[in-house]
Amino acid sequence: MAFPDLWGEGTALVAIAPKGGSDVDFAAAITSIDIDMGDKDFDAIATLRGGRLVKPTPEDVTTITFEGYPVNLDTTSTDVWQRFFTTSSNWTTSDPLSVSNSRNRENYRVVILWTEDTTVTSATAAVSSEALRAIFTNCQLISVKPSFTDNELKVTFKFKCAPYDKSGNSNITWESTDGSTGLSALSSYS
Amino acid sequence: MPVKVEKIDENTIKITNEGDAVITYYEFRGTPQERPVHIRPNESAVIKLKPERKRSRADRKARKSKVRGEE
Repeated sequence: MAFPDLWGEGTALVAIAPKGGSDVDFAAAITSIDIDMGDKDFDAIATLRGGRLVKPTPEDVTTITFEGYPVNLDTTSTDVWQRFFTTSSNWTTSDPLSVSNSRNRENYRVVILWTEDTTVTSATAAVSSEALRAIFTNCQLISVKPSFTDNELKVTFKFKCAPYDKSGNSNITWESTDGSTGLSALSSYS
Repeated sequence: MPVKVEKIDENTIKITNEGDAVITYYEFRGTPQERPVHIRPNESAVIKLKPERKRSRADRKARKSKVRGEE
């Protein structure tokens, strides 16, 4: 059992699910992932004799940015527009699909898995070989920026995730396995 | 639509993934028996919504006495 030198091309999977909904794998439509983990910073307060008092600042929010090529408004596929504009209970499923912007906001779970095991088809699946997985819960899709500057409709979309919920429970989990025990399949996000 | 849902009976649906993304549904969602079902593009899966209720001792006893009564 050995981890690769690095997680490279063809190793990442991304599953996105609204609270109470199904996971859809976005890996086929996205080309880049950028995780801006919230800082756990501190301030140093200088005292009279030159000492420093370390004052922790609360952990900041984490932002996950994807670049990709969603092509329609179908939420059973890699849609971002309906996910951005309204909640899953208001998603339309019959063609032609349409969505208007609203004040509704939905919570999402974003799961990113890196593995070289090609039999694994979802980021939420059980993995019995080397793998690294990040799970962000209670995220919101805060930004969707489509651009057609290079003769291709490219969308940059961002999920934002507070480090903890109101009760102080963690919203962010990272896990890895060398394959000896493996990672379990995730439960539904509900 | 990329996902076709057919109702087989009150507790069973068949989901056909006609899209290009893997979709994960959860059989027996919200119960201790919950398990994920990953449906790849162009594949389908039959999913039970709720686990079948285990027959209680009282149910079995009632059935037994009913069978005896029929004899």
